[in-house]
Amino acid sequence: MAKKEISKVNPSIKKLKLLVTVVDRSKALFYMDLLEQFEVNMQTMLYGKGTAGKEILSYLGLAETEKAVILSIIREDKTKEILETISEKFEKVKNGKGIAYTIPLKSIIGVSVYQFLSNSQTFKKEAQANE
Amino acid sequence: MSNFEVILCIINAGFSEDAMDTARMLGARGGTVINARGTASKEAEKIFNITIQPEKEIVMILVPSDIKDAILKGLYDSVGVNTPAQGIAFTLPVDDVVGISTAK
Repeated sequence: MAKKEISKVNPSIKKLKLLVTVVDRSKALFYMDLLEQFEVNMQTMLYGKGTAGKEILSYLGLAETEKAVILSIIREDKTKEILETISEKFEKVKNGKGIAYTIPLKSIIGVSVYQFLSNSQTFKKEAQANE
Repeated sequence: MSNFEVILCIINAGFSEDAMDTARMLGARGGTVINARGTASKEAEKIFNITIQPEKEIVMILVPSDIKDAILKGLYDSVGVNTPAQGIAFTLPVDDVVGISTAK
């Protein structure tokens, strides 16, 4: 059987992406709250540390190298909106500088898992109607 | 606008400085180090009577695609599987990047 792209078979299925955000640890909760506004149901925070050289840090008058890595599952159609908001905060919030990027997810299993991650309650009904 | 990729380098704890020094020398700007725990097969450990150090570090480096091969090669040579760091490195494609200055 020819492999069909599932999002073409059922247009209500949106692709998911993993959003990785690296920020100062003190700002981690701020960014997690910010992301929650965009129907992001699952987020994980990891503790990391930055590796910028000592000389660069002292030159810029920065001391904090403790970072938080936030992993969030987002819907592809929300990507642009989310990244625009985040990059605006990177520039405007004091000590809020960071980087963010997205990685496309290739596959996922479980209807309820998908519903949870994509925050789409309507998906189940539509899927049943299409069967 | 250049494309980016993220390099993930999993190494034994304590070698993140070595990995970053190599990466920085080859053009990377900075990276993030995450503490992690490795899991090796318990069976294999018993049979070969060795212990695999479970304390690991993951070095995450966002680099332009055009220099990622050089950095991967550098990491393989300095912290690869044949060194005490016993590292593995791979890259993931990245779609959208914000917060990094793309001006060269």
